[in-house]
Amino acid sequence: MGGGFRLLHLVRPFLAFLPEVQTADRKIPFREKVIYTVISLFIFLVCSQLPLYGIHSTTGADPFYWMRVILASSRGTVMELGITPIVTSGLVIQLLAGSKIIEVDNSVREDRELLNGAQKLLGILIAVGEAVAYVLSGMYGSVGQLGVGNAILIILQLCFAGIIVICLDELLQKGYGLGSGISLFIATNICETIIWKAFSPTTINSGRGAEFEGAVIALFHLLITRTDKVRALREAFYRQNLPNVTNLLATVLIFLIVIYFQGFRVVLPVRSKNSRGQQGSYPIKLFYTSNMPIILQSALVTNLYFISQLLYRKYGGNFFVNLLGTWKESEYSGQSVPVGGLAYYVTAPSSLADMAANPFHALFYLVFMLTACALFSKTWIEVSGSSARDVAKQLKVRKRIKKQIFLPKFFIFLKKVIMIYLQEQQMVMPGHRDSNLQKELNRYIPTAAAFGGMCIGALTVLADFMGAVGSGTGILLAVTIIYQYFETFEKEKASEMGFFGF
Amino acid sequence: MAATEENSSLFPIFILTIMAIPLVPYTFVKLSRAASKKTKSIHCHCSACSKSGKYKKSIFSRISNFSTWSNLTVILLWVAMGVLVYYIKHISGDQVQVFEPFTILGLEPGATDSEIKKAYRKLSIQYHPDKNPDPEAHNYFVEYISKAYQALTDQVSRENYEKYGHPDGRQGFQMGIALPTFLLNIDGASGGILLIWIVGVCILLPLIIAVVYLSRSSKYTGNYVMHQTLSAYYYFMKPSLAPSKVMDVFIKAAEYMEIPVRRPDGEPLQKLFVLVRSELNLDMKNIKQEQAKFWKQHPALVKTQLLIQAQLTRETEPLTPELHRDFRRVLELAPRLLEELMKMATIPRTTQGHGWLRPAIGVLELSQCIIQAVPLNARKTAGASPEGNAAFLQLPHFDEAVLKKLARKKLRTFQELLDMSPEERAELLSQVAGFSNAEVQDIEIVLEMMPCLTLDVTCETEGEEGIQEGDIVTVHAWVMLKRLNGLIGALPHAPHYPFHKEENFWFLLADPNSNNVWFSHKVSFMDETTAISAASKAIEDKMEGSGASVKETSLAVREAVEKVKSGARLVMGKFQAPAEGNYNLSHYLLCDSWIGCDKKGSLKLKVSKRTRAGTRGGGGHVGEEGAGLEDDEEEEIEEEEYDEDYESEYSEDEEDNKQQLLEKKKKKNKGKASPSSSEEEGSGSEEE
Repeated sequence: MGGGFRLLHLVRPFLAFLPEVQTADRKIPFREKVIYTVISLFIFLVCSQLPLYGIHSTTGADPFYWMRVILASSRGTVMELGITPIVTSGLVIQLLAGSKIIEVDNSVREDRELLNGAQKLLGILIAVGEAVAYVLSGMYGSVGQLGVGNAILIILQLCFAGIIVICLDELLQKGYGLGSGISLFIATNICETIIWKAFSPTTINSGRGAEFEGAVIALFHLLITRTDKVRALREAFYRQNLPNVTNLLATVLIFLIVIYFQGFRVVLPVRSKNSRGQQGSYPIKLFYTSNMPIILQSALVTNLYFISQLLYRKYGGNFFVNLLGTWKESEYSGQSVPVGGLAYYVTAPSSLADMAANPFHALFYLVFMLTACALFSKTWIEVSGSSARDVAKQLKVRKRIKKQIFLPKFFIFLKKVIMIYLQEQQMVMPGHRDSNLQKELNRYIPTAAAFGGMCIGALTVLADFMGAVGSGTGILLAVTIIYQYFETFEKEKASEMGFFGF
Repeated sequence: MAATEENSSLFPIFILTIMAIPLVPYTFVKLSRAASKKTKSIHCHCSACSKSGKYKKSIFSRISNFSTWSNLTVILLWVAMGVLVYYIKHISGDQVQVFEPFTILGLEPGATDSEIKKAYRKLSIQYHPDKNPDPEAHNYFVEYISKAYQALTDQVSRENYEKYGHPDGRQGFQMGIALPTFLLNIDGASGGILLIWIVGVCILLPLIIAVVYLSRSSKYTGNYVMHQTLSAYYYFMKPSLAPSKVMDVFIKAAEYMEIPVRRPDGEPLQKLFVLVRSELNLDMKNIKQEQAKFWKQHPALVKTQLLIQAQLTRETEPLTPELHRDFRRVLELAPRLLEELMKMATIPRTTQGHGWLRPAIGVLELSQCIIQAVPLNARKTAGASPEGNAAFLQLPHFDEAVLKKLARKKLRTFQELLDMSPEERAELLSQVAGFSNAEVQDIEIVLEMMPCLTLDVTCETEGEEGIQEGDIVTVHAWVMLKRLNGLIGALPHAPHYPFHKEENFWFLLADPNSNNVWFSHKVSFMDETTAISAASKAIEDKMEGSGASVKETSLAVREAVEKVKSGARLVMGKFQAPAEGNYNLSHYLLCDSWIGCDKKGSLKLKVSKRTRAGTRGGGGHVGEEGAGLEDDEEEEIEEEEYDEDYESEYSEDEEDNKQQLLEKKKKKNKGKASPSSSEEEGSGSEEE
């Protein structure tokens, strides 16, 4: 324990140098929160369009291609690292704290601050480390080509971008914005792709006249310029090499299906055991674990890809390496795609035609997705403390809720803080002995988690098969995040009304 | 060069699409709205209101102006789109023809070899140089027909064509971007200017605007009222504040202090002072001193007070144009400030979390008087009428002289006037008060506009019988509104208030004896959709909480929605039951803009002693409300014991069980050490 404390205290000298967002000293009104969120989004978007200065080339296979979706990074721009530093440092710190390597007492203010500082420091270190690794590994051309000055400049740019992302995330989390920065950036990145694929003004001329990349614009273009309207329509809906209208419609359909499924839930009535009149409901959603199974699944798959690609490049001939995955450069994008081995079988078939040609691949993919999502979902509830036992405990453990009416700071001078003590609430289900609560929850939660995970998996597969814009994973992530945002939005609005508009 | 030429035709297409996507749906919505019937006008139609000019300006001219403007833009955009389509058609005529062998041979894609041969032969007869001497035909035959035939009959090139769209196999592709060329010429001087322009307009400008907005709005609360105002209101609000004193608090808003006092304002203000002196509650005995005292106040306070009195007494002649502008500013801010003042009156102050009743009523009376421009003194019992003349004075054409005449006819209260049949009223008004027919008609219109409210209030502990001390009691009130003219959401009759004002009502549940407001809520009848969603959500939560089936829930929700549509609003809230005893509560429904339509009712609340049976399940937790930390400690222990036997009964393994207990202990310690970490889940109550 002593050692642990020392570990955390090591951060203390750095606290003064770390950029920090001040906690809001008043309750930020709803519309200001929206503005803060939009500003940070705007900064993020600008950063992910701003090309890095001093790079030599970004062509060639991108080993991180598969990870870009969940890391919200865009190649060759300042946001090359995306949210990687912050996510990684968060994971590491969680693991360290969870495994009691660093002992943290969450009730001590200083400890929390130190933990926060440690997370930020680690994030910045990771950003520096990754930036150095990127430059040294020759992603932007070898160091000789770049020159030492440029190399240092690139590292600096990437580091600052990392710090900006950390600050933006902190800004949103410290009460100025809505939701968390990480999920916001992921969703934005995916939505940006979808919008781009629909309305991109880029044209591509492959010997048959210029064609628009954006599906909707291409539809208009073809309808206006082609004489044969039926063929033009068919072309706009089914063209193979570029995003087409069917893809777009499939994306919209998936969006609607997911939102429809979000409403599926079982409501358990609960009421307080020793304060009468406190009743409410505990909804168990079908998507109990939300997008977690998808995130875990794609993390697994992308890591597999990464390792497999790396091994394949070094030891391409090895039987076991080939079993893990064989890779080929794609004709269109110059992107490495798996064409054999395990990596191939866990990749979505590129089209329906592909699916018909390799039914075993499609079947394996389907089974893999469903089981992986269901398993991850079930594991997640155990890990994250949302299993039946935890929930039952949460509902039962007395919570002395001390509600403070959020008066602006100056009121504290004028009058002592007004507090309303709610009684401890111990929730039980009416008509059940309270020992049954866990049993009752057990009836629903694991089922909901597993089945919900499977549904999410199935929806991802469906999205992949229908060729929705972006990948199935990406869309599912985006929709669930947007839905969460929608919910916080509603809640914020309601609380704004409830609190007398303070 | 070819690429840029091509781009010049592609950019209009891009623009066209971007324009068409919002324009087409917008036009459809617009047309369908025009096809459906016009929106009902919801403001008062009496002559006084029409003459006041605010509706003429705001509703009539705005709608007509706005619609023509937007219609004009829509038409212009359509014209632009037409021009673009024509332009594109015109340009794409001389574009590179795409080589499509099937079309050239006049076949459907995917035709068989024999069909291709047949078509080729047919075309050969027509175009072959041997048959057709025309050199153009010769050219066409060589350039297209024979090439197409070759492409389709050769196995490799046909495969290539079907796969890549070109008989020679995969073509290298060219990337371009459909933007005008001047945007793409980044080199040179124009490039620099362009860069600066993009960075300035697209990145810096929005950021600067946002930063300026945020730094300015940090002075304001969520309701566009300054923080400083709120703190002043909070500080000056007192538990027993007479309605006339509410005004003194009201004018202390920081917004009013910001209105400058100019030198030339002095004289007109003096004049105004003379006119409104009787309303200022000055002591008549030593009037000199009182006057001096009045003028010694902060000049901004004096000015605001006089301006508000000018509104109340309808004496606006002595105002200079500058003062008139200030006068309008004062009135424009008034409703918002009064609402905040109301919140400050009802904010929990006492240890039981109750607000104050008397100032709350005072605030609403002031609000009514300001909106209707009726002096506060008119509310006092004056001679004949026990409740003052204020309600009469809000009607058009009424003044003191008319009231005196009416008083002789034993018309004392406003309610009596309301209760008469229209014929009786018309007779009384024309005969006694000497109104013309048009004037009587005006009064009828206003009376028809006046809301008539009914209240249905219940208080219960959800899911329990009776109310015991310390319970969370749910107030459940349906407020029903009816008007004689059938409208539900409407703007009040307020000819002397120069701005758009919506009716708001305040529901208060209060104990008049102890001056405590237990629960307060604002009710508005304007927005039906929000009310429907709020009511259905509240009902749904309640039904789900009580464990009703899906069918019952949806039935109850539908019923509530019907009720809301027919002009009722649901007010739901929670408060904590006080100590044992019988309480004679009153519920009030006060309007902030009409005088004389407030409703008051009584409600008996019986709070019994907390029984053992009340705490279901286990452990004897009797009488533990307001328990301090020590009390809590004891219970903790009880709870642990209790949990232990439950766990050993049902949990699978002892290990797990112990660990859980340990965890639990930790949690508790944590809870004690940091009482400030408020956890909010699971209890949405007490927020109202």
